[in-house]
Amino acid sequence: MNLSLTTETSEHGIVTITLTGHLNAANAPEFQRALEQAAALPPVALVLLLAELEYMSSAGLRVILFGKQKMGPKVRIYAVAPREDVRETIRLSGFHHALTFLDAYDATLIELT
Amino acid sequence: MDTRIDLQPTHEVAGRAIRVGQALPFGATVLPGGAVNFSVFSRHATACTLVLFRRGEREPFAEIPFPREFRIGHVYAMIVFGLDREETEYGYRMDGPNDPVAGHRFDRSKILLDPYAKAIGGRDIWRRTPDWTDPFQHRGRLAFDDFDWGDDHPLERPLEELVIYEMHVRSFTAHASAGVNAPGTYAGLVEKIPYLKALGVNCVELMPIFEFDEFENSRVEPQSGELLLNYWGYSTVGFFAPKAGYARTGAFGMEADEFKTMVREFHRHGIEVMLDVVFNHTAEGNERGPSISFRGLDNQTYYMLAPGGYYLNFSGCGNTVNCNNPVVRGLVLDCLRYWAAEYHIDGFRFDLASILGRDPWGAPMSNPPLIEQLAFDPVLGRCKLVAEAWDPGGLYQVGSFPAYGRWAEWNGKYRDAARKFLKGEPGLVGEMAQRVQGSPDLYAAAGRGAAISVNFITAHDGFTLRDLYSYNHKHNLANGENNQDGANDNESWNCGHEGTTDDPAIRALRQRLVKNALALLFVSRGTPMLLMGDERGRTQHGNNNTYCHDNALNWLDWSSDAEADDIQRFAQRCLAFRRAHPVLRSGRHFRNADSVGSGLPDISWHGTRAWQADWSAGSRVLAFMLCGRHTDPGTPEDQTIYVAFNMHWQWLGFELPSPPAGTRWHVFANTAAPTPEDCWEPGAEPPLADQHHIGLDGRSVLILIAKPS
Repeated sequence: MNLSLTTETSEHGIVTITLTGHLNAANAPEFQRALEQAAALPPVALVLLLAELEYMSSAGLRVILFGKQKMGPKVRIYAVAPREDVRETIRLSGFHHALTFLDAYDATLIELT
Repeated sequence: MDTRIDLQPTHEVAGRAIRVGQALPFGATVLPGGAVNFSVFSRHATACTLVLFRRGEREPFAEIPFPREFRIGHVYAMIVFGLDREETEYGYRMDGPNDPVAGHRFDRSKILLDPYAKAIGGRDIWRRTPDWTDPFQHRGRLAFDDFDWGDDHPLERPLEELVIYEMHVRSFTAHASAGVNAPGTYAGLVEKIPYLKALGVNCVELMPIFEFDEFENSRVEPQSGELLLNYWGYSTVGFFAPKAGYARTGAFGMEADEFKTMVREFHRHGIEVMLDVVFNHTAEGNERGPSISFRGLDNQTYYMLAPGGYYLNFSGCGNTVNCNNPVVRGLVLDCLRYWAAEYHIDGFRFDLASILGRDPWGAPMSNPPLIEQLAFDPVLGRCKLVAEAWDPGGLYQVGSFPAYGRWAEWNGKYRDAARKFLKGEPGLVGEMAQRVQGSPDLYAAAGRGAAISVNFITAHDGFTLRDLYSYNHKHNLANGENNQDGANDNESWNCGHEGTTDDPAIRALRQRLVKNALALLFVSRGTPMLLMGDERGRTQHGNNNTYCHDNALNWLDWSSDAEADDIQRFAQRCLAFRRAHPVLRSGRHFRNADSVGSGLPDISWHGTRAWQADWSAGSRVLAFMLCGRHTDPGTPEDQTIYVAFNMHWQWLGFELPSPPAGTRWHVFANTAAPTPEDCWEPGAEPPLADQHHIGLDGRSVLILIAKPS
């Protein structure tokens, strides 16, 4: 199954990336390019909408780590509504330090933080 | 696409784009741009083929013979382009002589695991029955070395500050009573860090976590129908890969990340991580064992062989790794450096370490190069190195292991003497005086400090502490070996009844004997090691060799239990007492003299009469006083401590030495006193009514502390 990826940048400088389908080693470079473009801004915050992401392999997680290192500690990364198995893999493998989980996305809340 | 010219393919073989590889480092290395360098050693092979699989598939998707120009010396090296880093598994086929008498066992029908594989599939879900018809059981995978450690680094605590907790990753949290989200895994262990911290240990020593095959020699025990496994894992398949089946995320190939997260969390809580490493033998067994890796890559290099090509068996496990062949030494060194640098491991305990000092024909060496090399290695420079200084081949080196100023030892003599003394055997007082001082009789003359003596009374081999006082004999029938396995010289005592009993007097005596042992361990100079669960009275029901059981015989039961809670509280307070008193923890040897003008020697010896130790053959009494002013330079002055062991079965009156002027004796522990007066929070010790005499029940330990009156 393929990955579909859309990026939006708000007027406040929040980059939102919506991931749908399967994120694996084969299509992780596509995700990485999207993050590189976002990092170049740089954004105020990065929001990953994951509700429709059915599978994320370690390569996908590593791209998030790459993004975190590229954008530095000041840019917070939010993972919104990941499936439970994706969330648990992120947590147990220690990647949760790089991001913040949200159950739902509220742009105004992020602007305030 | 990377534009570096050295990262472009130059050849096409079997439809794959390749380029001559880099001989070093060995193993599979992902290069900038994503190509993978494969490098493997074989001295005696005539040709080598790289075999590539998609994850879990039975048939390879490519087989690439190494062109002649891709071999340099004894190393086959190739860069392969366009591989999926997550989905690729790899192995090797080797061509060469199949002449076991000459030591060669090449067989091109076998697909072999890379000895340097940093991730290994095939057993990545614990206890999932393998497909035995699959010709490639243990499958090399590509590892990612991009973990974000933040500011983590090995803790580098001085050895004398350590309290080691020997544990099994799965056993610690597999029991339902553990109540963790990820039972039996690295992640599960993280959930229990608060418990370890509260207990007061600051180093966990993990029983083997290198990839092993839990199904090695697996069998069903005929009587119970229980599946017996290679549960402890003292049988390495791959030295560079963490056991994937111990990771909750192993099925996603993220065992390394989960393991590193665990190490980082331990460090964050001030707890070091030591690994029990098994270099003395491998999972390939003897002549009848499988060809997993080394045997098929270069049997003659990796194993000690007898004339006729048979395997020398100093390990008791079928084969012996040829540790002092320079190529094998290199592998051991590369492995430990990798774990130290890539996994932030704080130290290593070497299983049957005496084998590491044998030459390729098995003879002990006076100056073993591997042991020396590890002692002086720059990357391992601050790692703890602890030897299990004996082997089943009869080499026993406690006190004489070649230490090069670095190596610590499991002090087997401490265990043996302590067990006999604690069960009331006579003739032990003189030896115990040495053991509680950090065994200067073994180590001082060689200039080795007290902390290199790792003191223990129980370890994974043998009875648990509770079983030490519940069984006279081993009860190993459940292992399916007719009770032939496991040690016979346990120095245990069942207190009058073999096994569990409702007799309250026997139960109380057992509780007290366990406390005596803990008290002895934690007031002894040297580095104490506690076996997982001994602080909660864990029982193996008399089984002293539970290597094959994935069940309650090994799992720690966390259920609330008055006796377990009582022991835990006692252990916790003894460890707090040790932490509070630097005279207990010094890495120096005592001088048995007053070197600071305090009027008291650093350690003085007593018996039922103050200042008169009873060293006679029939004595079962030992008391000593540690002068609080004899702390190490730079360490604040401590309080003076008096410890008395009455290991006689009868009540005995003790005359107490006078405490330093201006102080009075206070009671920290009296194992004969009923709970909760058996021990006190450090700082809350009550004063002793009679400052000159005290009666000690038979088989009890008293610990006093001199506090200002």
